[in-house]
Amino acid sequence: MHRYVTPSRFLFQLFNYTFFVIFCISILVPFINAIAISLSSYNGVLSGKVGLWPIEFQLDSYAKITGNVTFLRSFANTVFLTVIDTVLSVAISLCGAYALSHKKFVGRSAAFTFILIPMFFSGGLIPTYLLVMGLGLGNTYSALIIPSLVSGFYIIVFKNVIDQLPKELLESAEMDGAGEWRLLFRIVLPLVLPMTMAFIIFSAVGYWNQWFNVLLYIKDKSMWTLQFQLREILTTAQLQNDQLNPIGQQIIHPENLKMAALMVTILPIIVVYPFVQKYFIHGQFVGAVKG
Amino acid sequence: MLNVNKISRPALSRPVRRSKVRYRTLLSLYALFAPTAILLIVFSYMPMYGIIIAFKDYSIFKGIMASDWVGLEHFKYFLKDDKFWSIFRNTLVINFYDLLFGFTAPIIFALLANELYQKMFKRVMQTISYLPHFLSWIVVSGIFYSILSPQTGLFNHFLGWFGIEPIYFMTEPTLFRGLLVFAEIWKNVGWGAILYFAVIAGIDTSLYEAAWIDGASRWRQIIHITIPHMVPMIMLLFLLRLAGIFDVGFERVFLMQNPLVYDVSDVISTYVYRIGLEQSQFSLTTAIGLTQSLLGFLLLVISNRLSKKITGLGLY
Repeated sequence: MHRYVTPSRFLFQLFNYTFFVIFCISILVPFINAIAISLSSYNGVLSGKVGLWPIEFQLDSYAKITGNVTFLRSFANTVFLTVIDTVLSVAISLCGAYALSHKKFVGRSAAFTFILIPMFFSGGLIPTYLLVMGLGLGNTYSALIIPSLVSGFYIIVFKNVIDQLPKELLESAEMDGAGEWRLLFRIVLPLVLPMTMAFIIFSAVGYWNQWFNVLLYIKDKSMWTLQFQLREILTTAQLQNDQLNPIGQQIIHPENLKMAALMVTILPIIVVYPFVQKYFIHGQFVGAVKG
Repeated sequence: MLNVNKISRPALSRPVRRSKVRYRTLLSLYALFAPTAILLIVFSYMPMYGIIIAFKDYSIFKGIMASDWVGLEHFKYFLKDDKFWSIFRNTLVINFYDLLFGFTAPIIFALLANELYQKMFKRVMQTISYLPHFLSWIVVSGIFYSILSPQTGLFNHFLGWFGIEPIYFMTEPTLFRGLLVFAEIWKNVGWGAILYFAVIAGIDTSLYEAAWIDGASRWRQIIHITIPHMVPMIMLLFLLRLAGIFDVGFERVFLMQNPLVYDVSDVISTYVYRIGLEQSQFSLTTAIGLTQSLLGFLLLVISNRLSKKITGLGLY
């Protein structure tokens, strides 16, 4: 309809497409470059000429990382934490939201305010830290899992979505004698599944990338998460307990090791990303419209 | 923004024998809500009580209750501290750049992307643009340090083609704040634009058709139709953003910075972490944190008032 072409319009389109091509390149090239560096030899990296393709291809950096016990340990820790945290956090939010959207919940508006307040005020870093340490959670995984379980944002969005569901459906199931728990898991959950998927993805990514709380609370190296491990490798350019591993002491450039560790860390996200994209966009849209 | 539905009163004529069922329903509803309630009380409300250590001389051995009151001592201390003011200035300056460039970038991004008619190109571009949002600041800072490295970095190699000597980007104080803002845009511009895409997708297409029949150019359609429809969302996000004007996210700065650029990049959050947790000055840093969040809240309330008066739009 409005696609008649004037010279200025053509110039604009040319500029616009060029702009977005450059934009995409600016995002993709650093990653391709990181992969290329991680696969190049010591001398290849040293020459400073690695672009989009590795120089003197090698896989030693990856062999070294996947052979490092501390690194593997942190990978396993992160998988464990991500799964536990995500399941608990989404389940608690869904349950809370369902209760909150129920007509028979006495004290509903008070409960709503109760959830809303912490979204705008918080005790801040130090009081929270002192509390968690005071509860004896220092250097335990509970310190990483428990304090971040409730998300006011998830609860409110879930509540809004549940409020939109057809009332007759819930009422007729209730007439048939279904209890609240059955109602929630058999009828409500399947209906809010896209939203649930979106929150599962948001949480999982958040917990996978968790670093700050590890910095605050975890002292044991054996309990480090992947991001924390990566940060150590990026700043010190070496693996923990590396003397045990003879692979490639001489042929791996520090940059090489860093980029290989970085790629291993983001690999799960990159692999899952294309498949889950529709869910998180849904989540962001619904959050935008109803939040 | 958030509407609380009014509680509907139970119908008076409900039969008595159902009260037992209702009681059981209520019980299971409370059971469903219990985890949320308990966790919020312990991990959100109890730290609020912990704020009182800002007015005490907190000692780990005495605990919050038994520590001695010192009134506003800690506030007086940091207000007189030159170091604090330089941190405060950095926080405001970085935030100002974030607002000027970081806040407007997704708006412009959404407007420009809306002009892409090649559907496939647009979809692929959007998919790529969201990606960095899902990566941690550790990964982003690792990527930036790698690509901007003076010895092995691709970008300096690229500059070499034009005869430009390698630049030490990450350690150059004059460039560092710009890099911080750029990194934020690079990471989040696509993601931030989703909200605006949602708004643009919701605009009635007949408006554009009518404008086109009246001979309005595409440019005028954007000015007179698209942008006015985006204003409520822009205003909403702007107000929410203002509340955080005294706060620069910890991870971005802490993970990107290095000792050579501390002077231009240390902000309140990194300062609170360094002297609060590494030097255990719990009361002093709680006082700073409290001041920061009160100022942010005050700004939110004032700007919400102003916005309501001027544009008729507000958060609440």
